[in-house]
Amino acid sequence: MNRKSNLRLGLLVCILIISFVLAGCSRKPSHEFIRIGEIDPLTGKLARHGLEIHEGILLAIEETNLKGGIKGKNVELVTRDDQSLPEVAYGLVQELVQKEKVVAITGGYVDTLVAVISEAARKSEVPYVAAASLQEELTKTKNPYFFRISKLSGFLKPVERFLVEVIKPRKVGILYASTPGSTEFATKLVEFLKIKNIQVPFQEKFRTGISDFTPLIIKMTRYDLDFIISGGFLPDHLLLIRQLKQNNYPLKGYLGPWGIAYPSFVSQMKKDAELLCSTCAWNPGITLPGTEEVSREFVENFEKRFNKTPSTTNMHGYTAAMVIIDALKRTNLDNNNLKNDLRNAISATDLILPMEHVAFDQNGDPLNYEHVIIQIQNGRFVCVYPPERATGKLVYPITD
Amino acid sequence: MKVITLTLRLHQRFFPKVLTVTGFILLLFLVPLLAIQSSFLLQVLSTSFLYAALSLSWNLLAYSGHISLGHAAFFGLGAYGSALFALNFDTDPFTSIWAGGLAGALLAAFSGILFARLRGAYFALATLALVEIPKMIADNWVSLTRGSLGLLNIPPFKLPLINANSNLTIYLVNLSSLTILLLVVALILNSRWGWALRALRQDEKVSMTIGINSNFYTLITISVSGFGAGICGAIFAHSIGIIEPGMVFSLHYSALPMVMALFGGRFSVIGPVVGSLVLTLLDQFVFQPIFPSGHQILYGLAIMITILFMPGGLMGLLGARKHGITGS
Amino acid sequence: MYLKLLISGLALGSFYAIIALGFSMIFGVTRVFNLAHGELLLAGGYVAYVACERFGLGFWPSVPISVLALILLGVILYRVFRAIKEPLELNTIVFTFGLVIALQNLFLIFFSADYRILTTPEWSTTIEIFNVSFTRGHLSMFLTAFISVSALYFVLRHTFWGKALRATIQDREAVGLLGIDVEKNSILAFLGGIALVGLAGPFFASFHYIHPTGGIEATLIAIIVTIVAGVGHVRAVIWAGWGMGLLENLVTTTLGAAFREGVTSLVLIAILLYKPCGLADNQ
Repeated sequence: MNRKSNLRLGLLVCILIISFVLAGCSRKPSHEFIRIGEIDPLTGKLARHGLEIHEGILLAIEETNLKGGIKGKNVELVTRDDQSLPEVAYGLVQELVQKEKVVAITGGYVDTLVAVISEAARKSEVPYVAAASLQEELTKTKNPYFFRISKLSGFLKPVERFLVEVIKPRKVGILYASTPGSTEFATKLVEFLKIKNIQVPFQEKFRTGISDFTPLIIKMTRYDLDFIISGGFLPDHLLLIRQLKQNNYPLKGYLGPWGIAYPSFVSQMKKDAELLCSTCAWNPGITLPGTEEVSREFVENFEKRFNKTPSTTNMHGYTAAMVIIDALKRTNLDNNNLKNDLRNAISATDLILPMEHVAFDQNGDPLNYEHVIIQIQNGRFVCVYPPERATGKLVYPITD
Repeated sequence: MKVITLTLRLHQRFFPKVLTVTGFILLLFLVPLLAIQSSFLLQVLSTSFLYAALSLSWNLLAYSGHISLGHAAFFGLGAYGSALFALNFDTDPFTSIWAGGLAGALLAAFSGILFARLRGAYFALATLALVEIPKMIADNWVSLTRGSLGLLNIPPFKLPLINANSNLTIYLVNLSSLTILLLVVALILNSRWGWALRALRQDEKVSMTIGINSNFYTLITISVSGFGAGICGAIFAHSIGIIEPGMVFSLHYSALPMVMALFGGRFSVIGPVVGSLVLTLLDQFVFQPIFPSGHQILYGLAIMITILFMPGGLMGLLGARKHGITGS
Repeated sequence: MYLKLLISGLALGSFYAIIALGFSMIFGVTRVFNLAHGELLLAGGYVAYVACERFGLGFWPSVPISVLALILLGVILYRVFRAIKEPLELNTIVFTFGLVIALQNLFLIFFSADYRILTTPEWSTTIEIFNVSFTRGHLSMFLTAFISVSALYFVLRHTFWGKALRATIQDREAVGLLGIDVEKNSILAFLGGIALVGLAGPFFASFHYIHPTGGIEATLIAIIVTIVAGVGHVRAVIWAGWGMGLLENLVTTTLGAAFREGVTSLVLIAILLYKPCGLADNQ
């Protein structure tokens, strides 16, 4: 080898060594700050949702610090982007725990990412409170460090009861996306409907983001459906509704568990959004009875901070972060076993927030997460089910 | 016998290089002792070893001039093959990864036969389309693969005296698999097989006139390449514990080995390994901390700059000759 | 019902053809395999979006703006592509892959991850002829595809420059020997292809919601249609586009939407195996 390439080889080795050294440097635990970690998809396919979760978490942290922090100490949020990639998410847990010395992790959108983070959290023995997770089996893995403030049955049960008690359809059509959450929702819903002797002649799985629903719409017209459930996401609804209208489909009822109860959906669709239904965990004006004041304050603070109306995804992020903050208030911060004590404190949570009365079962599932059914009327979200929370009357069918 | 003469010849001709590489690998095995405090470093290195092994497998095929955009198919099939084997036959990962590798190899061999007449961009496209087939099967054959719900609770790696799936375990597993694969690839590329591949890449028609059977060599090369990618997918599945069709049959795993092999230098044996190590470490320790939200752009820029200014990759910069073959 | 499927299939197919045309031309003449094709499409779409929604222009006026913007971008890109060394196909694949990542994140920074669409209310009105109803949108898509393909075909067939381009696609070296300026041809063809992308951009943004990571689907469509048609066969692009649109509809209606991508891939593989030069090739 000649001298020139020897020099270059030497340079390469130096770079590698420097990287190793940098890797070895980890932050010393600070006594003035409490650090909470966040892993969200901030770039990539899920960027839109990850950013919304991030905003909710950020507001919770900033609010807490404005009110004096936790026992006098300020909270610092350490945010990481998992790029919507599971193996990146997996690695970030370790980085946050070992390098950045966080005491807990929150965030997360879509079960592919949440599942992976929960496994890494188990390995690193750090509590993880997921902001958005559905797949039922994730809490069956006996992971003491995994908690989530949402669950599938929170979406599913209200829809089941709504259909059976209010709509009473003969035939239902179901579309769903090929994600685990949407697939599980659709599968369980179909099972339920069959037990109740409601026919489901139309069931289609599609890959979210397809450019044309027309063939599916044409297929649907064969069945004279009384109600359509669509488990797609925001862009799918935007397209499907537009195309249903374009094809003059006689739409009697439409419910999308995800992606509809958002201000951005209404502003995009304008009058095409009228009379569509969705499930909703929270929205400005639709909040747990007794939390109206707190909810209004949240909306005001959010609008001031981010210049837009908060959505339910923002609230999910906020709720998850608040759970951790509340648990920290009940933990002794100056001991060596902080992460385990924090884990126990989270497990014992009993916190009333606008979206839910947070409490966990022994598997980490939320005890009280349940959506209401809303319908868009005059550009606003009106709660139509359950009767005790209804703020308006359901309009059904949409067309006769 | 042949292996011994081959290895001896290796040592004679490439003694200094082999010594450096062997030394470096031994060093890597010792890293865990040095870095007890930061097992995060172990994690990052593990990931880079996995990518390195995948890039190495990809580059083996690229050596013959066949550029594949479909290694995600072999990777994903390896992941599913191994996970399903372990879950259904109740075995440990060290056994089931061979099933994964075999699955990858079989699909690779099949596609090698199917695409035998295709060249250049057409071959690349066919491999790209190939990814969709096992993905569609995994997504819809619900009774076997649970469809879109994916597989959970995939058994972790367990080495004696160490916690299951601990950073150390995964580190050692990945390092070992990389070392073995590196040895295999080095042996192949420095044997008649390797020279046949180089000749085919240089000029296929001429090579065939001197008696090199293009179809045969392509077939065995793609099978080994698929086997390697399958093993990587299998290791991935067991280290994370959860897989879904969209996760493992993602274009990400087709693009990654290509980028790393090119960055490190695709004409040298260890180029892909160098590329993976440098890129992964750079991304984790330099890009991400400095630009937490913009680091992806740096990654894209790095790729573009590599192609424009160092088409031979890092090893090209370091003066690695293309083993005496002039031209591209 | 089958008539409706036919119309929507043709409309979808026209959409696909418009997307693929630019790619086909660029790949055919310059051998640049542009993985970032979808992102360029998005760029045109975003430009048109800004022109329409922020400056209040209509759909059709925003099209030339998009074309101009893309041509400017194209000049820069051409300079860069020229610097890429052999082997051209492999190196351009990897280079444009890096470009994809860079552009995706640029879009994310400038336009955020929100979904945007060009609202074209005038396209929702339905027209009925002989008991068959379709929308103005369908018609616009269909006509645009038909006209651009025909125009391109005419240029390639009946002008000297066009013939020179076709000759370049067939055999670059020989063309150089004939005294035709291959370099100038390449630039013009490249910019022509880019202009077609600029044309397709606003259509993409009105038919589809655009967001930073939405380009990959478009690239895949462009690649598939180009290959099925055969590189350089312009007329075949619209047939291939229509074929694909109809095939997708057929699969969705019979097997189900879950099998759509898988079947399309199988078809692509089949074409590659049995007619690698495309369906239109006569060799």
